[in-house]
Parts: sequence; C-alpha cells; structure tokens
Amino acid sequence: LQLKQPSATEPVNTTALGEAPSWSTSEVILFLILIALTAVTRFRRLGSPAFVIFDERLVLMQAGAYLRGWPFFLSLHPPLAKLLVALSCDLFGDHAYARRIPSALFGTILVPLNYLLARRMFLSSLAATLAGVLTLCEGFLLVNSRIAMINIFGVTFAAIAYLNLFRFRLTTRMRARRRAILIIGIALGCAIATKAVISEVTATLVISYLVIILYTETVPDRRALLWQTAAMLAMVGGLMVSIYVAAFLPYYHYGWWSGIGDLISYQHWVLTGNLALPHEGPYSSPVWSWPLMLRAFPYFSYLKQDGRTLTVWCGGNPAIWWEIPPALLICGFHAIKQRSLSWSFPPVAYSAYMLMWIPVRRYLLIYDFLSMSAIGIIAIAGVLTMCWNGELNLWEPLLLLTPQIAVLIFILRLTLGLAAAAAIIALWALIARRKNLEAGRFICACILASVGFTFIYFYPLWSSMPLSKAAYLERMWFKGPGLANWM
Amino acid sequence: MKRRWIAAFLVALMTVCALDQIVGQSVAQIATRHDRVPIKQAVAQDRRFNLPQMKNPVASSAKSAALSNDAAELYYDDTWQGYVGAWPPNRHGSLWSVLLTLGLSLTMTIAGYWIFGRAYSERLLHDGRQNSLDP
Repeated sequence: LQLKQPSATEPVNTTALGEAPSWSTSEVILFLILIALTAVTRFRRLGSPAFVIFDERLVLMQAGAYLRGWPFFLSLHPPLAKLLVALSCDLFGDHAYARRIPSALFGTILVPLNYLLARRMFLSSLAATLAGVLTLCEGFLLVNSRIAMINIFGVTFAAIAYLNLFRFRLTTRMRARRRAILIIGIALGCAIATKAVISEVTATLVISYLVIILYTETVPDRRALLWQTAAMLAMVGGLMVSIYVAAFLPYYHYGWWSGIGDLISYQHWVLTGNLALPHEGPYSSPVWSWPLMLRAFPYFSYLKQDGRTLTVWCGGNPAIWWEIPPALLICGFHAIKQRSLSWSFPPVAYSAYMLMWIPVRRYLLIYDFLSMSAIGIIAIAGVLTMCWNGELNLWEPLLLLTPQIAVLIFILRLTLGLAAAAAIIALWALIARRKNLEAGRFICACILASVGFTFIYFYPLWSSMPLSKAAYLERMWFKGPGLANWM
Repeated sequence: MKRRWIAAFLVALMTVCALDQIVGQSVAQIATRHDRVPIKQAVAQDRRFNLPQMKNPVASSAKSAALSNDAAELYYDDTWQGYVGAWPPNRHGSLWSVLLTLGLSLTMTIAGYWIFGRAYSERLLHDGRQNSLDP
C-alpha cells in the first residue's frame, strides 16, 4: 500500500486525547479490595440453592450434551456459555457450585472491567471507583452472576469490547490500536457466540464508534481512511465469524451436523423458534416497564419447613436501577453541550439496546435489561463524578435525587419517607446557598448511602439467604395485581 | 463536517438495530408460512430423537436436583411448543465447508491486521483530536 503522507504544512499531532490518571498505591489497594469484595459476594454460598433453578435446566441439558455427546439438544442461543458450564462441570464435578463457577467468575471480572472502562471514558479515578462500587452493588448483575444461566457472559464480553474501544481512542500508537481492535473482535465474537441477537447490537455499536473515531480524528485522507476502515472491519468481522463458527464445533465432533449448511439452517430455525413463542408468558413484561423495574420476579422460591423462604430474585437494586434514566438524561445533555464522544456513549448504547426490543413480539423478561443496566451504571458513575466536582447545573442534582426519594418512601413508608426527603432537600438547599461544590458532594453522599443500604437490604433475596415471611414480603415493594409485581 | 458524520453514523446505528428485527421477523414469517410442523408430530417423525433415553447426564447425576431432569418431558411439554423444534433431517454440506469458512474468516483477520499496519500513520491524526470530542 502506498498512502499519501501529510505534507509539512498539514497539521500533524500525535498527542493523545488525554491520559487516564496514573495509578497511585491507594488506588491499587482500593481496586484490589473491590475485586476481593466482589468475589466474596459472587462466590460465597454459590451452591445455594442446590436445586436446578429456572433456565439452568436448559443450560445443564446442553452442557450434558456437550460433555457426553447425547442427547442432541438445540437452543435458541449459541453454545459458548453452555460450553463453559460444561467445562466447569468436567473440571470441578457435577454439583450446583461447580456449574455456577463460570457465571460467578464472569460476574466478578465485570467489576474491574467497568472500573477500567469508566477510568478511560471519564479520565477520572473517582468515576472509576464509583463504577466499580455500583457494579458491585447492583443486585441484577449479582444474581445473574450466581446462577448457571447465560446472561452475565454477554454483558462481560460487551464490557471488554467497550473498554478496548476507549483504549483504542486514547492511544495513537499503531500496535496498541491494532491490539485493541483484535481484542474487540475476540470479545464481540464471544458475545455473539453466547447470545447472538443482543450482541449484534453491541457489535454494531462498537464498530460504529470505531468508525466515528477513525473519521473524526484523522485528517481527511480518503484513501487512508478507507483502507483503515476496511482493515478494521476485516479484523473484527473475521474474528467474529471464526469464533461463532468455532463455538459450534462440538456439533460436528459428535456428528449432529455435517456442514456449514447446518449452521445456516440453524439461523432459520432460531428465527422460527422465536416467532413461535407466545406474546405473553409467566413473568413477562413490556420493554417500557424495564427502566421502572415493575416486573421483577423470583428465579426460584422455596418455602422451608421452618416457615422461612429461600429466594433467588431476578430484580435489581432500586437505588441504582431507578437512577439510570436521570443519569442518562444528564449524560445526553452534556454529550450535546460538550460535543463529547465519551458522554454520548452511554445514552446511545442504552437507546440502541432499548430500540432493538421494540419490534420483538415474543414475550420478554426483565433479565434482557441486563445490558442496559450495565451501561447505565457507567452513566451514573460519570454523572456522580461531575456532581462531586460541582460541575452540574442546579436542576441536575435534584433530578438525581428524585429516584432516591422514591426509595425512601418505599422503605420508610409515605409520611416518614416524605419527611426524610424534605429534610434532605432542605439541607441540600441550605448547603447550595453557601457552596455549590459541597452541595454536589452532599447529593453524591446521599445517593451512595442509599445504594449501600438497599444493597444490604436486598442482598438476602439475591443470594438465597433464608428470610422470614414478613421480611420477604417487606422487600416486595410491588405485589400486583397487574404488571407492577415483584413476586 | 464532524457533526454530520456523527449524526449519519448514529442514524445508521439506529436503523440497523430496527431493521435487524423488522426484516428478520418478516423473512422468518414468510419462511415459516409453509414448513411449520407441530412440535409433537415433528419430534415423533424424527428418528434421531431417542426419547426414552433422553436423560440429561449432568442434571440426572445431581442427587440434590429435586426438579425433573427428564429431557423428554421438555420436548413434549406444550408450553415449549415450537421452542425445541425438530432439526431438519437433511444434512447440509460436508466438514470441509466448515473448515473453509473458518479458514476464510481467519485469513480475513490476518489480512486486516496486515493492512491496518500498512495504512496506519500517527501523522494522520490531526489537531482537532485534542479538543473536539474530549471527555
């Protein structure tokens, strides 16, 4: 290839956009503590309940098929995550703890990944710490890390792709950029080999941002840009196809399939399978209700002989979950105001994942919100960092406080909750009159306190710890009838 | 110029997401109009399903698994009708086609890797990078 090189008069700048802050000893220690805490929440009592719960049954049937070669089982989702579960069963034995190890491992990795992602997106250690803490305390991610289902895998692979997208952006070195593209290709390939349709949105999103970065930050040398774009697409596309096809190799090994035509027919089978599913099912909920968390449901519920309940609850931490829409709004506002690619990423990604579901007519469950939840956490981390630094407008901290008022009302009941909320707002107004910076920090502290409290409050529901019936019902803020039902 | 590109890509992104579902569903609707077979009938016709032996090796050996482990039950469960469909009995292609696909996609990756190195120049990054889209 012979490309036109810029002349001496053309602007030449190899300066990076900015560097992520250097690591201090205290930050390294904090980072390690976060990972350790995450591992404890993900791995502790992982084998409880010992029952096969919810769609673990389907995953285990497939894992069994891959281990022993029979029975032939075809799923609507590609096999990579199930292969990992099979591997874990093969290595560690056939019991509940072993079959959940891959999910717990991926759920643990997600915390440092989100930490590093926020660090590169917002170039701030504080944003990184907040992203790590919020990922640790989000019950929806926690519960999906503690069961042998496939949802957490796609989210973690997507986080690897996002992280390398921003690594690509922050570096100017060719080798580093090429390596970032390769890792993106591998991560997207693994995501698509785990859960195809939603990962296609991830792939479209990441590839679009890669192209945007190439085209907005390079001199308009059309030929060079075309070659770079084509090369990037070839790398990412080639890896995605390779990994996707490779994930199906057990089908050929066992003789279930004979050629690539079987894989193509499988795509048709998946489409027809999805179409055949009913519009409504047990626990199903419409897409619009997901940001409000109206239809959380138990993956598993078991009444013990002593009258206590064991539950594995597919719901999130309301103090984080309900904070996502305001945070995304503020993100979008600053993306436009600052013309910032980093700030645009969370709202664009969230919207893309949301839009994907709108035309789908089959029944949907709230766990499909997982990708949006993960990206929403990054948005909250970025916005809270601005709030801490006193960089938000007056209306923005109030908007951030609104979901926490709802949480207060649910925990303390209406009168006491409203009184507490009024006291917090009055205190904030008093501080804001003196110093805007301290007012922002006050809001941050309130939100983080709320997140911490609700995490401890709901933790037994995510980790199947026994609860008395009264304690269980107290945590079920929505009891139906109708869509708003957490039971 | 930059804003125009960003807008164009964002619109393209949204369009792809929407089309992914709309076109996919329409194609599937047309395709399934003729060849949809009730699940029980399809499973019964497919001799490769040896239903009485369809025990899941992993789950069945888990002594604590109180729930049913019988795969056959899943295939005959009406609530799952259409979910676990019979695989078309015809086999498509030989193993060489799989190896060829893998080979081609890996070649594409290696070619992309090589071309990116040749086409890339740090000198092409311009001043606007410093302040246009910063966090």
